[in-house]
Amino acid sequence: MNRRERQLVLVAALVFALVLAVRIVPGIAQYYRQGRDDVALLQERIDRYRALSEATAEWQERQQQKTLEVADLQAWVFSGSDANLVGNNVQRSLRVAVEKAGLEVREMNVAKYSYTGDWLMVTQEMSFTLDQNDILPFLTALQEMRPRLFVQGFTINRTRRQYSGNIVVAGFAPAAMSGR
Amino acid sequence: MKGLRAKLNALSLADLGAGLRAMQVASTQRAVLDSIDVSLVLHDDTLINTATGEYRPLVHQEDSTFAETLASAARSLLGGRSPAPTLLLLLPPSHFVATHYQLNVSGEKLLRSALSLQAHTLLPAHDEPLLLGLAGNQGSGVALWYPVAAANALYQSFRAQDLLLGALMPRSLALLEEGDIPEPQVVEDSDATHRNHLCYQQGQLTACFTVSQRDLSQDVFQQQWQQETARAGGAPQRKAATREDWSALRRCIRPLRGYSFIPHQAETAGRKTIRRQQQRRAAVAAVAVVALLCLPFLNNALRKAWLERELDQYLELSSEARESQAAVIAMENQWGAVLEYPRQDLGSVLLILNTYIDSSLSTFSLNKGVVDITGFAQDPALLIEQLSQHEEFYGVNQSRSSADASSNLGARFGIRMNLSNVDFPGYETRYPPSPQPAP
Repeated sequence: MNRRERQLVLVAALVFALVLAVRIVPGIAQYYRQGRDDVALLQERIDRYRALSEATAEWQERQQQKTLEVADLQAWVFSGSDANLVGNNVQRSLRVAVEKAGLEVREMNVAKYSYTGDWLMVTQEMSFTLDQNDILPFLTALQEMRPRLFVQGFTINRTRRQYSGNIVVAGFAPAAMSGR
Repeated sequence: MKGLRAKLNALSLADLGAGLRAMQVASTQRAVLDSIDVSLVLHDDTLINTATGEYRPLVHQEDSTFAETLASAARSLLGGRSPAPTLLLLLPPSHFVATHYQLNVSGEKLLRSALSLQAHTLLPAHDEPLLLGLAGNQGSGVALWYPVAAANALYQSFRAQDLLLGALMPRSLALLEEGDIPEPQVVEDSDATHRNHLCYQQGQLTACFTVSQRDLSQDVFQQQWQQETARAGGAPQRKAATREDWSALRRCIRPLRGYSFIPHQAETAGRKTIRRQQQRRAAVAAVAVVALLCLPFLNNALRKAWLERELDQYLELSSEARESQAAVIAMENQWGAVLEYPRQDLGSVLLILNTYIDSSLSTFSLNKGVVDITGFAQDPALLIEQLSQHEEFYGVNQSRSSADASSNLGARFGIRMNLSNVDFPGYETRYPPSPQPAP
């Protein structure tokens, strides 16, 4: 091996050492860390599924409860082929509750529509006058309404002679059935 | 440690190089001698295997040299073994030259240097290069010599017969007891042509005389021989004079390191053997290191395989639970917007307020969990405090300045507060309202 060949071998060895230090060793370390992370992830999944398998009875019970709850919820929501129809239904329900409690409707605003997830939410605002004694019956009637009307806002002002109020209620209907 | 460092510091690079070379030579010679597994002794033109007692007479041919004849007999004796055995050839003492030395130096290395330098004066008849056999550290003793060319010729002849000649040694030395024996050992080795008297003490030769049997037939020489041998140890403790004496040994003779003559080519072969051994050890070490480095990765791989199997088991075990969970989550996702819509119990709120404010509310407003009230109270501050302490409300604050009590109704107040368990902002974050249905 002559001097030039020795120099070439030395340069090649240096390049190899550099590649080893900069690429190969960090790569191997990364591969090792990745393996450790995979093991930790697997362990975590095993723990999760072990806990889940131990809680099988609990989940089955929750499913039954939820199924019953959902069956109840079916009566809470409005049905209708479009949003306007649902809006009319909401107005009608509110009017029924008002009449039931003996309130006098002063103004019924136009219903507002918005969507949350797979649901259409109809918001209806109404102004009314009432006696003090009609407040609780009205609220009770509202609570017992099916489909359900959720109170979003409620205002009462007392003047010398009477009470005037304003209520904002929300009703839900499945969005798929009530597209506008 | 300090001593070693001082010694190293005192050495020059050249000394270090020479020391390393000497170590390498010693290591090679040790490897060659350790590899010897057959010893053959030459006695009266008969070659004898000392371990088995088998023998073959030398068949002299006109066109064959002594070395070739010997190698041919060895081949006939040992047959074709694979791998080729490494031999110790025990030659008659008359084949070696013995010189007595008396020097003012001690140490084997120095003695060897000194004797090698004096070889041409000690042995003026031999102008060819010689191998030196020497042991011990004493300034006086006996050195043995053997021609380099003859050793190499023997090596090549044996090699031609697929035999590896590891070392040569005077056969008389094979008669010595093995092990560290402090007493002098005297042996007498005779054959048809020569008689050898040898005295060996504490690992080194102190006397070695060889005489021709023909000379001993003369009285003068016989008398002189008796005197010399009497001075050098006296009567022999062990004798070998016939082939049967050598056949009766029945053991492989171990070479004496100092008095073994190793042909240069055998040393080269020994170096190759050492290199092969080193390469084998290095390969084993490299494999061990790689295996050690691979252990963490292997551990990871095994753990992953084990855990994946365990995961499969738990996936199967939890299948019913997962189905129920998925059904619950699906129902919650489907009905969540309705189910989680904040419930504001207006009737309850009004009844609570009625307990603190007796029919003196002017306005009541509830908007997405925020309650604003105005009215009259004797002590608005006390009212705020009372409402703050009620679990139905939080964040109770005065929303307008209080006026002094101007009537029997009390002072005018304005209060804003939040309903507990009603979180419209949270609901709207989870179910953001959108003017269009989700795609």
